[in-house]
Amino acid sequence: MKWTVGQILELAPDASSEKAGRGLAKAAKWSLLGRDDRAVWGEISGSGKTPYQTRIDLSEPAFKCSCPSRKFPCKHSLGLFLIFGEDERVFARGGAPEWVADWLAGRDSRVAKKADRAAKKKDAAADPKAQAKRVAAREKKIAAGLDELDVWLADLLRRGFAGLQAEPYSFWDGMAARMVDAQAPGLARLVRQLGELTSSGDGWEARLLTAIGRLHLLARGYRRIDTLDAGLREDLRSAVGWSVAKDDLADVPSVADEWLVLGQRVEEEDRLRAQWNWLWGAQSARPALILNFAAGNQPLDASIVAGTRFPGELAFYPGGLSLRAIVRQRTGETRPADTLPAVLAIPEALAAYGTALARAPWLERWPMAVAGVRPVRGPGGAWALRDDSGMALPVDPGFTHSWELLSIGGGGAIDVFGEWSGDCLTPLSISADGRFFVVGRGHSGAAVTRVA
Amino acid sequence: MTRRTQDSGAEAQWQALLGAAILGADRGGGHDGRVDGACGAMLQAAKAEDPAETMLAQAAILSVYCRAGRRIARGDGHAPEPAPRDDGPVCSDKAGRQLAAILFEGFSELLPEWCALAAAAGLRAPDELLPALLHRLESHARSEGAAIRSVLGARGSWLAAQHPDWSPAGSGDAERAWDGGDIEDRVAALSAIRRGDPGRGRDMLAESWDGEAAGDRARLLAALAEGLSEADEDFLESALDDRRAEVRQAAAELLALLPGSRYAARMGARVGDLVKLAEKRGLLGGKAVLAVTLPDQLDKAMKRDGLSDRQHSGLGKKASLLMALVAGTPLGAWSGAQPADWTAAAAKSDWRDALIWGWSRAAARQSDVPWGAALLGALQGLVKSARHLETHRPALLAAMASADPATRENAVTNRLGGGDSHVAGILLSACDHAWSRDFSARVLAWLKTRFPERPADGWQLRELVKKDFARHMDPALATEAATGWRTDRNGWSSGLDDMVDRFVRCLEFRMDMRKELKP
Repeated sequence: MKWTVGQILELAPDASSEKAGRGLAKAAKWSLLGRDDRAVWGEISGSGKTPYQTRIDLSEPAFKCSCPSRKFPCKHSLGLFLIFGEDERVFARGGAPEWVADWLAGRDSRVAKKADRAAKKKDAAADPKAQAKRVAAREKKIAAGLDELDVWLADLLRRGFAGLQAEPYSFWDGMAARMVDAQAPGLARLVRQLGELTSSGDGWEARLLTAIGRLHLLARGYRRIDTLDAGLREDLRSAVGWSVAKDDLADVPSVADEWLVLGQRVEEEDRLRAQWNWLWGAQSARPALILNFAAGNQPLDASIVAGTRFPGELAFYPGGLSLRAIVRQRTGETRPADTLPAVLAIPEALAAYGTALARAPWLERWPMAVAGVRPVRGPGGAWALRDDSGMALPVDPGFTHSWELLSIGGGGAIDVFGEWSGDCLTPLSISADGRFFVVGRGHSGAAVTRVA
Repeated sequence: MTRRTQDSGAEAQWQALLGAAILGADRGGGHDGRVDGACGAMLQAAKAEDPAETMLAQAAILSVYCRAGRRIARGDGHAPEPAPRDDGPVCSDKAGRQLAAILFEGFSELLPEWCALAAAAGLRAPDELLPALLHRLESHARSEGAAIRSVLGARGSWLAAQHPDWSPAGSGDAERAWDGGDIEDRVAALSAIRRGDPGRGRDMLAESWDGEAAGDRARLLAALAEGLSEADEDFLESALDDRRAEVRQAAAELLALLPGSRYAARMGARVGDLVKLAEKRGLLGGKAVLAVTLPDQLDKAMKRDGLSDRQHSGLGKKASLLMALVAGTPLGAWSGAQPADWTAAAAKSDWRDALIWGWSRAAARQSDVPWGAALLGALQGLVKSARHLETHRPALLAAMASADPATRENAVTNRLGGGDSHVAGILLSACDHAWSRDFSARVLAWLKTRFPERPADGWQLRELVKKDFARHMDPALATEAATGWRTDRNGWSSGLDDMVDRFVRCLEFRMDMRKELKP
């Protein structure tokens, strides 16, 4: 695919790398620029004696640079890629030098080895007996883990919440580790979240109790999973941490539509970053959640950009709620998003949430688009979105851009899309007077950016 | 702000459960309220032997039930009056993105320029950037206030009125702030009112004067600088009777800007008595010489006019008094000779520093261009090298501030040839105007020779280049600024790389700004 400058910049791990990368995106700074069909390479002098050697494998893309930077991709890789993105002709076509060819060969062999192992794994996995054995073993571990969790949760309620804020991180992390040992990573995440809730500010006790209730519900539900219907079973398994392999989605029918990307948020967890992308089909008027992950310093998928729309096909994960999906393919051009489809009045939006909650009671965040609201500020400084009848949806107290919403609307009604937690809304995009805005896009600290 | 109404008793039970959870089952928390319907039945069925386990089950049931059935009540916050529909045109999307880059990506020193270009084109800032602008106005009111206000539009004023901390941009709210705000708010309010109606502002202060706290008076008085005119003289004259020295000084500083005032006449008479320019005939012809006779101490009248016997660093007691006198006198009082004659005579006098420094301060405050030029000339002679710079630095900067752009540029150009980049750098940093094309080219060429010679003040100069020079240089030189640096020398480093890069990016950015913000 053709990489645009904007997409390349999104690969930068942080704002200072982006700046530095741009600074190096000048052909004059590079003493060597070459390419062939598969790779792009360059040499640039740095603070050391010998110049740095930077390579890019275009098929992925993958980067490698000899500079000592720990960032990934480093500023040299970014700069080189930017030059390529702006004008390929600057690169002299030719045979790859040794240091490029060696690297590519190394990658190929690693890929081959990985494919080998995966094939072996699949062969092993294909063996139904061995597979069944593994699954049974995991279920046993999970069952034991759930029992342990339940006891621990009951203990929390026995001792009371009073001393919990003083507990060290290890108190929560320890239990999370036990869940990881029990091969239930979904539960591990929720346990760690309990710890974070104790320091989440006013009203933390109610949020903690809700989260504890959620965990207990999952535990009880999972124990009875065989008595539940297929949709609930899938959702429960997914919540506990069974992952659905992309291959398993192969049979799922595609849903084709014009998809609007209404919001993107990145959650930092332990050594994993999770990218929550909320999409909404323009015709089907159905929401979709695309979850992407990146471990450690690896770059996150930069192909989904908040505030854009693209025609494409999605495949939804099995489950009662049918929210999580993957992008199977794009079938046309990406353009700026310009509208919020399927906005509802506050009562209808809440009713839809209620229905969703009935299907998946452990639901944490629900995509909600409300129409015709005005941001209002209460006497204590708390913001809410108020409709003409006076109903006021509380805005997430951690949301710091309510003034921008007020400014955009100018006191008039606007439509807002965001995540509803059951208690408050975290706005992600706004439609007002034919203009479209997204919250917090890109590395620049701009609170709210106009997209159309 | 919202009251949750549940009719089945579930909400009350949830609150009771929460209370019990905070306390802990061990401490006997728990309340068995009645809950209706299916929820109630489920709660009954979930009861266990162990109270903690019962609470767990109740938490699971009630948290979902209450969240699903949550009814949003009609809130009691008030919706503000909508913003006025009538408003100036908003700038283009691209210009808006430039403003966002200025506010959020580290080009904030270019904000005044963006605002000036936008205001000249009759455009206002985009709605979604108004909060950031107003936030900045709060902390940079003095340096950027006028610039930011010129691009807020009606929407911006409306928005500011909604926020408890943002300076009142319109006088309606200023009245409120004047009555009820703290000293910061009231100074801002007074300035705002003076902008619209100076007479009214003065009257308001005069009315409340007697009741004002002693510590506040000087600051409030200083706010009268906005919209200052002869009409303010009477009130300021009466303020000279105040018991506090700082109040008298504040009044005197403003009166010095009114050459027709009684204060001006008094000061003029004083300096006329104390400092005389005379022709001295000598063997080599006539030359002008200054005769200075200073009193031993301040008299009552002097104290009333804001003079104090505080010693200025680097000057003796009498010299300090002379400097204060000179600094507080309207420059029109120095009649009988050209500014250059006065400064030339002062340069040879024993009282040289007091006079030059005092005049420089007066010139800066009174924005007097001819005096600024004359003083610059004199100071150039005094500051032969960086060694003399620190002593005369404030005066030098004051003289530069009052001089006009062409004079400033000449002062710098004279220095560029010398081996001393420190003084040139300081002078350049005082060239707070849009540099002419020729001057810009000359400075650019000079910079290219300084680097990578590793000048002793290298890093300071680098900072100046990045932030200051980039802001003033003619942006048409962007392409030229990108090349021609002597990178082959050993002294070149990534720090210099960064400097040139930032410098060029800033110039290119300013070129783009001009393209986008055309009327």
